[in-house]
Amino acid sequence: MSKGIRINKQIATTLTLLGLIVTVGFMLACGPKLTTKKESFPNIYDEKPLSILVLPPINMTTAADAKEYYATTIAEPVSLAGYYIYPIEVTTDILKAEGLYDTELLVNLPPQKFKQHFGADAVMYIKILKWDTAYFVLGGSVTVSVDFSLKSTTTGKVLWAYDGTMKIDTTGSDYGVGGWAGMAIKLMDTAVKTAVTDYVPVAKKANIITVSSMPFGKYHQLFDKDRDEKVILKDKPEEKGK
Amino acid sequence: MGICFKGHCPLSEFLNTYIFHWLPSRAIWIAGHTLSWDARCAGIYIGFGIGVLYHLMTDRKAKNLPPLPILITNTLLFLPLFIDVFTITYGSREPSNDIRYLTGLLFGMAFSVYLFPPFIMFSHDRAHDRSAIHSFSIFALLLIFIAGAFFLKAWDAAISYVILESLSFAGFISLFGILIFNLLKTFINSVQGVNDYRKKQGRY
Repeated sequence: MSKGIRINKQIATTLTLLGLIVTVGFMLACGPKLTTKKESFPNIYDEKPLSILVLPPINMTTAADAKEYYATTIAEPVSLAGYYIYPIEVTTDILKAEGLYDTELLVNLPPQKFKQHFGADAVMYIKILKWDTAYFVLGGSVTVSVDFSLKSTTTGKVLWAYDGTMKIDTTGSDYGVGGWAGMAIKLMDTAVKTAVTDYVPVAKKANIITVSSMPFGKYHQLFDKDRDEKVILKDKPEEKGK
Repeated sequence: MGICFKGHCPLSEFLNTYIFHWLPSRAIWIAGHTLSWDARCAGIYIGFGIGVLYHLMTDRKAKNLPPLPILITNTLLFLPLFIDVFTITYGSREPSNDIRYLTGLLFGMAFSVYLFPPFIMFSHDRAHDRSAIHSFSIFALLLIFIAGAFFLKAWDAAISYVILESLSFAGFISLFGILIFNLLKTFINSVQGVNDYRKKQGRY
């Protein structure tokens, strides 16, 4: 049996100091980089938009029905953040009547056009990045990932941009039954849970995560009082908007 | 934490920013509950907790580091975390909480192998002149426990949540306990050394 490497007090002290440096290092590096809302989104505080026109989401996934389902979830969190939202069904119908079925066609349009036609102060572009089910026999998950960009219809500047992801674990349980029988039960439970998990509540949670970074609008009691509130630093809105 | 002023809770904000790093998208959810830390930190503290408990079970008074081949293997276990961070930062791939958790577990475990022997050296006058992890089979068993902690996360039951949350707090407390104790001991030893030196100077 090897006795291992002997250490004296000097080595022990060195290891302790290195350990302290590593611990402080990972505690600082591991945490999210925070910034204030004012620093991240100065344009929205300057322009103070009241009304937002939410365009139908751009579906970047292979789930054909994601767009319609997702569109039902967005009005609530943005309204609760203190903004007037144009009724999404009505605006979608107007755009369809004009032959604009897909938001992809509107992305390159100057945002000022929406002020002319709808009178909105800002226009919101949403991309659905993930609307996936992952199933690996004994485990599974459902993921929804969205990317938001809010542009001014007066100046065309990006007012706010953020993204959020929500993943729900749908791994089944063996309900305390061990062995092969337990594994079979778990397999079936995972398959059923993954198949029947409703995407809409998952999307709502992703929206809450994302919209929580948005400065409050005029119809919220904390309007203009949240400048120093911390949000997790992501790409600069100007860079994301490109 | 309930200490809040005008919608701001400085204590909870401080704790979450510097200690827990918890974010909904980076958290580990088990049976409807979430671990208090983000996935990577949870892995680090759970790994450290398992490492410390394992040292206590195998030989709680062993003050030596493991033999060199084991120590090199152990050092290699730090790397996956850095590779994960590097590849995520430079955009090579999508982040995954499972990988964050796994690399954290390996890092925490490897960290405990380095930090526990100095603690024994400082805390026991009659520590054993051997290593708690003296063979590859004992080291492999530690890795099996780490793998167990990784797969326990997939068991969607309250008991697995309780076990992992307890281990993470045990790891957190033991890590800071060991660091603080070792630093205090080092400080006391230095002061004693200085006093001894002064006494010697006075004598001559």
